[in-house]
Amino acid sequence: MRVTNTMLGNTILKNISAAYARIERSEDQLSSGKLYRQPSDNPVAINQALGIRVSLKETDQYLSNISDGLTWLNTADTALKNSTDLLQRAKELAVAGANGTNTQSDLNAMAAEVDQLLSEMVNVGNTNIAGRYIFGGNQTTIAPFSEAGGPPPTAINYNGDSSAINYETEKGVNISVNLPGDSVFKGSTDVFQTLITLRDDLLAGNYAAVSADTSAVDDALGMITDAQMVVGAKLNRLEMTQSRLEDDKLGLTKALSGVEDADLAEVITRLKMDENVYQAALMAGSTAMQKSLIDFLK
Amino acid sequence: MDGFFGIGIARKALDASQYGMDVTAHNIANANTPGYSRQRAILAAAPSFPYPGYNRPMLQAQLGTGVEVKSVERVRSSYFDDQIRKENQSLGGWGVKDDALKQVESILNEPSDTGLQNMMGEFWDSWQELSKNPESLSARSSVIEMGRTLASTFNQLDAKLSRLRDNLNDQVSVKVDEVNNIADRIYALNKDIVRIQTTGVAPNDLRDERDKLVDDLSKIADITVAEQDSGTELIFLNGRQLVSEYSANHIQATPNGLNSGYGDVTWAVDGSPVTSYGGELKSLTDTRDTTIQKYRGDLDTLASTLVTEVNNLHAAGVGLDGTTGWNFFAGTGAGDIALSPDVDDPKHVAAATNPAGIPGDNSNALAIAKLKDTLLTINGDNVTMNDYYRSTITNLGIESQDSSTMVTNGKLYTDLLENHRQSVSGVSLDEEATNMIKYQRAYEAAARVITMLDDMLDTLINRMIR
Repeated sequence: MRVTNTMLGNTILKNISAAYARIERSEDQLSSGKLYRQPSDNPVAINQALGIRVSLKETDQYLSNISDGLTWLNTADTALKNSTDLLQRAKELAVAGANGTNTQSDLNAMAAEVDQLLSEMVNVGNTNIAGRYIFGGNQTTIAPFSEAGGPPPTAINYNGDSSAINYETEKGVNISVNLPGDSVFKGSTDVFQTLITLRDDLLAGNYAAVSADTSAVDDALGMITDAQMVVGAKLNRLEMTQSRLEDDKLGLTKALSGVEDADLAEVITRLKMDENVYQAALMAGSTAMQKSLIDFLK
Repeated sequence: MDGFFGIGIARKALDASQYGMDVTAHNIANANTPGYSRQRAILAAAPSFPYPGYNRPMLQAQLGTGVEVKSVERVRSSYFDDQIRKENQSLGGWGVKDDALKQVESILNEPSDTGLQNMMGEFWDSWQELSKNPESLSARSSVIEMGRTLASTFNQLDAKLSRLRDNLNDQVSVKVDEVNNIADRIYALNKDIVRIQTTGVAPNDLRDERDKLVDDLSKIADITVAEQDSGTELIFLNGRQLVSEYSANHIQATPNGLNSGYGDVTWAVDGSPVTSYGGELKSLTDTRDTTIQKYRGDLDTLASTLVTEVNNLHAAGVGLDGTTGWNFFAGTGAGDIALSPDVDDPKHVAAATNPAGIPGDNSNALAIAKLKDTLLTINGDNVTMNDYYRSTITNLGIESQDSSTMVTNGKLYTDLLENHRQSVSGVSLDEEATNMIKYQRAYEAAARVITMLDDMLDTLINRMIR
């Protein structure tokens, strides 16, 4: 084949620019840290990356949901623990009050304390997180329990409803993060009514009735403890989901990095090789293009 | 036979060497001229003397009369020209498509934190947040803001793709002008070539120029070439003469009202459509009308699905003020999707399903947030909106990768063909230097012959008779 100067020039130029393009590519990978610039660089990998990014974003949202759910349930847990304490005290008072050696003024003092317990219990029932009442069902903006009659109150009304508040904690899974107050405090036993009866019985000096109230307080305690167990189970479940999602997130982050990120060692090695090729192409070009027969003619 | 015969032969030799040197100089001068084919002086022995005839002088043998330059011809292979032109029009076409697809890719800008996929993710997340704070007006406002951002992302993508189509349409006009311009120049060159050729001289440089123009034209459109005996080259486009013996036929881009006013390629003389024209021009109109429209259509489908699905759930839900039946989005496609005026009042954002409008009721917000995982029938496929968009991006990647490969391969092939052509037609400086020495030496020798003959005549004229 007859080789002309233009051919030589074209070939040299083609090789030099190809080598330069490879260097540019590696430089870009190094500075951006990403393997690919556009979907066309590797459609399959980009498809994977897009999928992983969606999962990662979802996982972040679920983790945030779980964390908020944990706040609700932990608050409920604390509130229930407080109400157990209150009922324990009420039980002690009931047991003490059933003893016939107490004078009426002793009983009156006890009744006054039960009244305090009652209003404390109402406060517990009205526990809120930043103004949102956790025992009101979906009625989160009004206090679920209000005193009626009196003072001292003769009844405690429930103003909430029995609807659940659901959070999505992972794809397609809803967990209710609230316990409606009607089932917690006014379920099989009405906690408030129990306290009101105890107070009234103490005021009336009815030892037998006070003694009977002891078992009612026990029932109330049992009911609250049941609710506590429900909350505990939910907390458990959420925490398990949380730790699983955090593992998922770690795995997804690694996978995304595997698909998207450039391996620096590899890119640098390639860059060095490309630079060598570029140098060689430049050198070959400069020698080949310099000389022709013209140089040797006088 | 006279004594000056030899001087005549030597003078012819001087002329021929001079001529050869001129051709060499022309070659060297044009060594880097695009489209130039090397030329060579065709030397031949001049007719011998005497000619046969009754009154011919009686000589022992025919005697040579020296050298003459028969012609100067250019060295070129039309075989490579044809192949390069065929390859040119396919390469030109893929090049245009590849450029456009790369632009679509950078418009959609995936994967990134500003891409549509991420915006959709943020939108669904805002509903999740609302499901956790259904009493809150600020969570509602943030849902509205995210909805607005998402809608305007759709709008912008659509507008950018439309602008890309506008650009391609502008290029169609530019290329049409270029075709007409080249056709005019080829027509003019045809006339010159015929005129010069009838005088018996080869118009080599004009032919080179014409070949170069045909090369350029072959990139823009799928043309065929037929050379007449007269030297005229007829150019055919879609079976019709673009350049005839008598005129250059022009084409034009006629605005088509049914296609956003974009230009259709037609013949200027009667407005009949050019149906098959290949090359960059065809690729421009195809990319403008099909390729980009497909991706716009995908975005439209996605946007309209989003509008329908979100609105269905939203209108069935209940706002913070207990009202119902409000739309969240308005519009029918990516171009016009917007926030519905219904949700100008954040209280209308329907987080609840209970008609009583209970503040803590988050069930509808939760249902809308879950739309992202809902399998919907989009374009006949049972997919989620995310999957649909993801497959659009993947298809774009594959199509764009394909066209890049075609461009790279086509480029390699045309480079190879161009090398072959250069191998035949290109100027080699070494070769020209060799010719230079050849002609120089021949010139020196011929001059020497004249000196020698001069000496001989000197002997004859000045020394013989004293």
